Order: sequence, then C-alpha cells, then structure tokens
Amino acid sequence: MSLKILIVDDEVHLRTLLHQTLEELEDEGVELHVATNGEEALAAIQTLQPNLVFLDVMMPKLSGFDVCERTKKVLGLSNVYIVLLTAKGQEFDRQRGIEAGADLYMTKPFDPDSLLMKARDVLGI
Amino acid sequence: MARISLKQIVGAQNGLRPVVAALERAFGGAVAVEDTAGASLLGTANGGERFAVVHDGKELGWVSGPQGAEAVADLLRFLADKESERKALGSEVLHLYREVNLIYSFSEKLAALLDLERVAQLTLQEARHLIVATDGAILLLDDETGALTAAAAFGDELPGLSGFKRGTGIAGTVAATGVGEIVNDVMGDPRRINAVVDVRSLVCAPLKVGEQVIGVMMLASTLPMAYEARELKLLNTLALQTATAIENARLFERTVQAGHERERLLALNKEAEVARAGYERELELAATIQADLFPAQLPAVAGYDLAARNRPARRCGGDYYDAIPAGTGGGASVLLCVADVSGKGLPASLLMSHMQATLRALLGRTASLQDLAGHAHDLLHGSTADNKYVTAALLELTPATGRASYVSAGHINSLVVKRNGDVVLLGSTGAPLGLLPPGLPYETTMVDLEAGDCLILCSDGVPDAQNESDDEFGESRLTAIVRDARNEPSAEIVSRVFDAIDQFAGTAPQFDDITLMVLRRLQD
Repeated sequence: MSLKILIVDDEVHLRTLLHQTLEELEDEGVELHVATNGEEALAAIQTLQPNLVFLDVMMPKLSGFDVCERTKKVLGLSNVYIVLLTAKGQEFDRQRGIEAGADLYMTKPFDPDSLLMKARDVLGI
Repeated sequence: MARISLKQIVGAQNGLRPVVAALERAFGGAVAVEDTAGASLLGTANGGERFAVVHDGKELGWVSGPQGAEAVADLLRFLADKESERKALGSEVLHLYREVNLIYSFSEKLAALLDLERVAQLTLQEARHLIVATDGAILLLDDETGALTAAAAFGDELPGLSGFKRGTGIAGTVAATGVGEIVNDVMGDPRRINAVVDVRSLVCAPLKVGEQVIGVMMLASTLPMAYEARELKLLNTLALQTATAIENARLFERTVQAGHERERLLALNKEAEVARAGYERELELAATIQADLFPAQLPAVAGYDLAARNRPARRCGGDYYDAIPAGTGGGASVLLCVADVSGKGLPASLLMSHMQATLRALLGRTASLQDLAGHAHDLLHGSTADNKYVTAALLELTPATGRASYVSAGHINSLVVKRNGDVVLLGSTGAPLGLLPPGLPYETTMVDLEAGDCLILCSDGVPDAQNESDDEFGESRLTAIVRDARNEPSAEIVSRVFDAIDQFAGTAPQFDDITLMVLRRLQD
C-alpha cells in the first residue's frame, strides 16, 4: 500500500508551499492529500489512514489541537505521525501540543529542506 | 520538478469522470484511458481507435474509443498543460518562500554578530544556500586609498586575488557606481583586471550605508553559469543587511577601542598620581630632614640677643643659617653664618646640606675664619658642578670684647646698625664658595660690636622680595625697619622684617628663600 501524507491548512498559499516542498516524494510513489479545514482533515484521516499529517494549528472552528487530540485519543490512531505547524512566537502552545498527543512541533516559516528531510525520516524513504 | 503523469491528472480531476461519462453518451461508445505502461486509468480498453495524449513532446498515455474520443485526448492534453503551469507556479512560490526564509534567518543570525569578519563569513555562507557559486568574496573599501580588501572569501580563485581597487575591474566599477552587476562572460569583459583567472561568471552587489559605498559582495563561478536578475536582487537584499551589520561592527569596535584607550589613560593617570604622591612624600621627608639641619636652638651668647628665621620659597630651600660655639684661633667665640645656594628647591637644599656638613667638619680645624672659607671653597669646588656655588657671610665673634672677624664669600651686604642709628655696610671679601678655581684667598673685615649695636645677616631673598609690580623690597627698607626697632628684642626685629616683606609683596608669591639673622649686643 502506498505511503500517504495529508496536508492540512486553511490558507491556500501554505497548502501550495507544503505540497510543493513534498512534491518530489510523489515520484517515489507517495500520495499527497490535502484538507482545507479541521472537519475535512478528520474525515480524510479516517478514510485514508495517512502515515504522516502536517497539521496547521490556527484554523477556524476545529483547531489543529482538536484534530490531533481526536485522532490520537478518540480514534486511537497512534500510528499516524502528526506534525503541528504553528506561527513563530506562539511557542507556549508547544505544551498544549504535547498534551494533545502531537509527535512533532514545527514553527512557521518552515525550512523546506528540514520539512522534506523530516518527511523522509518518518516515512522511512 | 515532478513529472506530469496521466494517472495524477485523471485521478486528481474528480470532475473528469462525469464529463467523460457524458461524452461517452454523446459519442455513443465507451472511452478508456490508459497510461504508457498500458495500465488502465479510466474505463477498460475497448479496442477502439487510440489517440495519444501528448504533452511537452512526450506521450503520457492513450485514449481509446469511438471517433469523438480524440476530443478527450485533447482535453487531457489541455489538463496536462494546466497541471504543468500549476506546478511551475508552485515551484516558483517555493523558491520565493526559500528566499524570504533565508533573509529572515539571515537577519536573525546577523543581529547576534558584532565581529566584522564573522559578519562577512556568515553573509557568504547564507548567500550560497540560494545562489550557486564556486567562489565568492566580500571586499571592503578603504575610502582614502580606494583599495578593496577582502573581509571574507571562499573558493579556489577569488581568495588568491588582490589588487582590487575602486574604479578598475568589475568589482571596482560596482564600488564606484554603487550599482550591482551581472557578468556572465567575465573572460570577455574588457574591465577584467586579473588576466589569469578561471572565473567565468559573477554577480556583484554594492554594500551601501545610505548612499555611501563601503564595499562590494560578489559570488562567482568557475563553471559555466548564467546568473539572473533574481540572483542580483537577492544579493542586493542581503547586501543591505550586511552593510548595516558591518557598520555596526566597526562602530562597536571603535567604541571598544575608545573604552580601552580610556582605561589605559585612566591607568596611566593613576600611576602618575601614585608617583606624584610618592614624590610628595619624599619631598616632605626631605623638607623635614632639611629643617632638622637648622640649629634646633640658637646658642645663648652672654650679653647678646640672637634670633634667626628661614622661610624657603618651596618645600625645600637653598638658604641656610647656623650659629655654632667655636674657636678657630683658640678662645671662646661663636661662629655665625648665613649662606645662599645658587638655585632653589630640592637641588639647592641638597647642596645646602652638603655645605653645612663641610662647614661643621672644618670647624676647629682651621687657623682663621678666612682659612675656613678657603677650605670650604676648595672642597665645594671639587665636589660640585661648575654652575653650582654658595654665597656665605661668616662672622666669628668674641663675645667678651665684641670684636668679630667677617668673611663674605660673594654674599650681599651685611649691616651693622649702630646704637646711634648709623649704618655700617659689610661687603663681599671674596668670591662665592665653589665658583672659581681653588686656592683663591679670602679677605677678612674686622668689626667691633658695641653695646646697643645690631648686626643683620640675611640672604638676598630679603632685599630681592618682589611685589605684583615687580618692585623690590630693597636694602633701604630693611635698614629703616631695623633702625626703628634696634632696641627691640632680636626676635621682634625678625618678625617685623618678615611682616614688612609680606605686606610689601601683597599677592605676589614668594620667589626666593628668605633668611634673616639678627644679633644685638645688649646694653649694660
């Protein structure tokens, strides 16, 4: 079964950037999927069971924390590696992220090379 | 950039299936799409005519179906082109994002640096993240000489080069104009100053603070490379920050240096203070020692009243007085002396103590007062520099008779104010001690002191005392005061003369050492 990455962000330019950064993985058989809000994200997670999720924290209605918590604790999908993306200066959220069960915390603006390297690391490719 | 694949296009476009389904109904036949490997992407291969989906000169796959199915192939080709455009845009966006990130992180790292070389090194390091280069350098301009010197450099070619100067060569031109340049054919550029260099292309941006150029930054390649406008733009953006950081580093360094200089001067000042305090103490000590050389108490001479006072102009003085019971030719007598050393202050006082020792050593060892003077002169001449000498007034008195012999080695007049008010002047009887070659004789003047007579020995500090108008106190003023007070106690006469001098001098500071000795023969 192919490896799957889910990108979740309510801002289109960030979705584009994240997609673009991870694009070369598509040639290696990885599927890139996108969700534009928390509800879509939860649905996609349940359906796709992605290996890796890049999850923006600041989203209207359902925040990244909520999605993370529900995925890990309610749905019990502990195999889904969740990376929370937050704006710089909001590092106090780090603690909340840990409580929500996130696997990693990254600040925006993100370094594309580091992000790609992390993805390869998590996916084992 | 990822390849366009038909699978992606067909799969991604969820709205495609209904459209194809509608077209199938329109064509009246099934449409199938397969990729170049033959894998089915949509529908099943139905043996109908195959139409290629060609994008960017390559076949992505096949569409098979009835006659109209070609339109589906065209549609897919259109979608492939659009996908290609989207990817290109995405790639561009990512590149811009990287640039923004770089500038952001560069800014952060730069803010932490105050060392000029590290700023330059960091700049080149960061620039290389986004601009491909084999060589690079940051050159700083010396405004006076126009020379451009490297603050940091990397690569095989650039670090070894020198001779960059404002106005010559490519870097020099950028430094002169303040406008960045891209030169993709360095070998063919007529401005090239270094002939045997392997650099093929370079991009160079000026480092400016306001409108002033402080240097240039350049990245170059020894491999074929075409630098573009976007790279010069990025370099210019980095250069802006670097220039400011370099200025800051320089200002910081100047501040640090000024601080060090201040510390150094403060330390020197402190040292000087300590030395000065040391000298002060030594001077005090010397003054104390010298004060002790003066007779602690003047001898009591039966039938006479003797008083004396010395006041040096500085801490230590060159005047001296002495009163010693003596007898050069046998018999009870008393020797009085007032002497004045050439010069003032500590050097004079050293000589004065030497004089005192010489005099006292000779006491009792010479036949007469003039022999004493002669020997003292010889000794002083032998042991002092040519320009050092002592004037002295020596008087040896036989108290019982009032008869005295007087020898003056170049000293100012001594006075005898008689009981009736007449004044007798006692002048010089020979050269100052230590001045002329040894062996010169001294003459003796005989003096008779009668009851009521007053003898004055003093140094030239008395008549030479000046006021603010540079008038001198003079011998006549001295004479007048003594004459008026000749029946007063000797100590009183001394006080009156000193008070008169101080009053005369006013605010003028004491210029010379003042010494006064008064001997009165008491009336029966």
